[in-house]
Amino acid sequence: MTVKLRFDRVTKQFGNRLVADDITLDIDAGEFFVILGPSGEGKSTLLRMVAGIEAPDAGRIFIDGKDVTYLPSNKRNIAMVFQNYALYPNMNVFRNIAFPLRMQYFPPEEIVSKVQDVAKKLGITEILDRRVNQISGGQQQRVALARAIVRNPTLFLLDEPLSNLDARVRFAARSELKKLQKDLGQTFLFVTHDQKEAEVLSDRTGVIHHGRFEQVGPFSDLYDRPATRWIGDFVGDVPMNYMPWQESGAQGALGFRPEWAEVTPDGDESATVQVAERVGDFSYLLCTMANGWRIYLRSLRSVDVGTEVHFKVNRHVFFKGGPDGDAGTDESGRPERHPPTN
Amino acid sequence: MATFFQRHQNQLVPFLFVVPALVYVGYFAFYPTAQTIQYSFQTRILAFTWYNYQANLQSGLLTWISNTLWLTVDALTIQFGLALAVASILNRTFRGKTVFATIAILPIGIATVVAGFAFNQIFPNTGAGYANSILASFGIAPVYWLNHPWMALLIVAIADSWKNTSLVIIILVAGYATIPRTLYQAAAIDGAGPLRQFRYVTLPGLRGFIVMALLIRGAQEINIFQLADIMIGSYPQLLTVQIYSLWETSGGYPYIASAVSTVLLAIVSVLIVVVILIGGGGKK
Amino acid sequence: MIAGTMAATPLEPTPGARTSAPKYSANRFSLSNIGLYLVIGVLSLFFLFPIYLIFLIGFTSQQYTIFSARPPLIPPALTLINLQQALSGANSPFLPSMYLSLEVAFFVGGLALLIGIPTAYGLSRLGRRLAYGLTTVLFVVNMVPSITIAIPISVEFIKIGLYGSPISIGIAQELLALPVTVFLLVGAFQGLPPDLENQARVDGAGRFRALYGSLVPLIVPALVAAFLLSWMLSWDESTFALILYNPASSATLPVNIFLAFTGRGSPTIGVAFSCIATIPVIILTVFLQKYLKGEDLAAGVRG
Repeated sequence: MTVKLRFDRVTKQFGNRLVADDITLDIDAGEFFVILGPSGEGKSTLLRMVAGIEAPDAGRIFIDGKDVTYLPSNKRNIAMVFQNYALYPNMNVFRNIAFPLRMQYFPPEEIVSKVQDVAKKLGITEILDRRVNQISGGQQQRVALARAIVRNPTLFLLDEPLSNLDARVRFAARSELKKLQKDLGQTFLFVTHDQKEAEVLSDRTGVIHHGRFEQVGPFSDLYDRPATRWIGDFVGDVPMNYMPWQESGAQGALGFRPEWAEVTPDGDESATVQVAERVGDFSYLLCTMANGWRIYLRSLRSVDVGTEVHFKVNRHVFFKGGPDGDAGTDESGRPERHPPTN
Repeated sequence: MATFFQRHQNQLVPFLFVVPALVYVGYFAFYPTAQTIQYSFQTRILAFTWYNYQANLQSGLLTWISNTLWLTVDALTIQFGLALAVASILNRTFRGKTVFATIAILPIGIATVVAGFAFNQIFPNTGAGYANSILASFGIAPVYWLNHPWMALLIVAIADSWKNTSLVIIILVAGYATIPRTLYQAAAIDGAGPLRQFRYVTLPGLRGFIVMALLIRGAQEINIFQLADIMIGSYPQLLTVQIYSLWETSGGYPYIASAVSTVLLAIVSVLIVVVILIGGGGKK
Repeated sequence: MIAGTMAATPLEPTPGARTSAPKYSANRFSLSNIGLYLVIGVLSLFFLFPIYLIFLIGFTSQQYTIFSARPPLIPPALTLINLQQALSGANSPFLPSMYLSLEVAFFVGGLALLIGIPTAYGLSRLGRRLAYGLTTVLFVVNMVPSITIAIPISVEFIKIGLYGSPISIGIAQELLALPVTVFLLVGAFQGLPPDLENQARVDGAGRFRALYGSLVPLIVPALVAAFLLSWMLSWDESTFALILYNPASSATLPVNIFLAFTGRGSPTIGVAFSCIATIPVIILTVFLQKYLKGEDLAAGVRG
């Protein structure tokens, strides 16, 4: 497994905000790596440093083993798709796609054939002569992708390329993107704040928080074995439940997702339903336990407010940490990373 | 090892793009200005002396200054009053707006010398002229427009304002474009009528633009030359016209003229500082 | 919209910026409309009257204009005699003068873009503070009186040997054109999507190709406006042109007009020149008005 991209102690500060804090990470060739995180936490900045649009304050970036930290963007042989696609408004679709090839002085006949190949691959051959402001958002996105592919770069950078699409188009575009990457066999570095995209698209996901990768791994790891409470809350549709807990003599918090608990009459825990919401096939119940803790439970059946329900927790994650369930992570400070025990 | 240039290339390269303009401006504006200041303290014989200034004071430098200031204040008042009116009109929609907008900026295109001549024909000192023709049709006796120095200067101010109000209009229209309509609506709901709205919404919104227009036009006004030269010649004396005539009569030696030039520069600098201090630096 | 086309709504602010003062009433003869049009009428008169006079004097025989004690506002008869005298006089400086003015004006306009585009691009990419500072420097230059600079500059030009050539006049006049040009173009560059240039660089374009290939084509309206403004500034400029012209060859139009009015020629010839000199400018001004939309200028100020 060759390393395509390496971040080596990359640090970047904007004013007094540390958007990248001593980041070290290897991304493998052919991998679809998603950088996931809340808005404004530094994901785009990382991407832009790889692209050469920003330079790190400290640290190095290697592509294919070569130090590109201060190499100008046009010499890195990478492709980038921006959130708003950055299509050249004064050129039609064909010339947009052809632009990178023209920059490298390809002969005209070769340009034509390459562009047509790529257009066919992405299904946009019919709009090649249209102006870019006359095509739909989904088509624009495909043009941006075509422009990225046509020059056969060594690495693809994508900055929330699906965010500007309508929900329905986004759904289809998502799977097309995954298929495209598999077909090309190229390395994709993809930035998003949308976990569904991370879940569907990524081989590995890195969750970035306060300038650091709080956890890196396949999405299922993030979901089933979150490294910190923050990850537990951030990943998943419904926030994780926490209660103070002791395990193996250590104080900490027990975390479990609603779907890891089963509402059943022979459950040993009980709670009173305060709010019940029906979403899809399930009822999500916000309940209060006798000791005051509020938790979310999930049930297939409808439950009335005020009912007392019994449940048992089939699966949990334990976070080591301070007393009262303050398990070593909070919004303001740097998280302590205690590996979960299960 | 990354060099300093490499690390900061994203900031340094744009700066390189600006350098040619800076060099040009440095050589053709700052250097001659410095030279002028230097000349003002020299004569053909002496290397540093106040002689030039003293001589000019004796010739009436203070009068020249007061004339110039009177002219400037008049002109700026007219220009900004008119421009505010026109810009606020242009802020609405109405039929014929494009036509009016074009008319309002037409004077920019008329050469200063031509405008000067035209106003000479309107306000000559001969008792003739078109203004007098209009007055005559109301039975009013002809006026000798340039008889009193202060009135002559006022006439020049009017002529200059005719040509230059258009620039202020353009700037203020740009300013109006940045004031969101919702501010006016909120003010109206709070009970402000048109006058109050002007004071509390329009003026603050236009502040940066007014400052910029004041800086540009104020300096240009103090530097008025051609127009004044055509209309009133060398009496009443303005600073710029004096500079020119002193230079012409000095046989190519710039010293006496440079002293007046330096005074002119000083006045413009004071204007800039005062406007920026009062106006808060403008928005740019 | 990435397309960045600028619809030609002249001198109109963005739709959001209307006062709450009475809107255009449906009844065309309502009181507020009459008042508005009255004011507009008066103002229009003010702006148009001198222009009317210029053409009046140009096309009326002298006895009814400059030599009349009560010049009539409506000419009794129109004539072309002034024009004929101006154009056909044996030593008429008209044609060489017009040619020189054209030369210099196009030079100034072109140079404004040549220097202005990279400068404005650089300024738009520098940090706010630095850009503000440098733009201020450029504008301060504008505030130095031309007469102050013209004298030492003329000395310099004599030394270099450029004295009296159109280039020297153009270079000097450029000092007036550059700040306005840079101001307009910085605003234009800042109105472009920020990632467009980044995209071009990632796609393999060096700085220049990125600038001229992806950014400049999008600000053509601002380029036109800047060129036109610089052109008109030069066409009208008379201080540098007066001090820097070579009496042995020709002077620019404004200088000749000036000389005609101040005794070295006949005033009527001066007026005839004035009419002819004014016509192209009026046409260009009408043209220019299309491009002076509120937002473009505001962008430069908000900068």
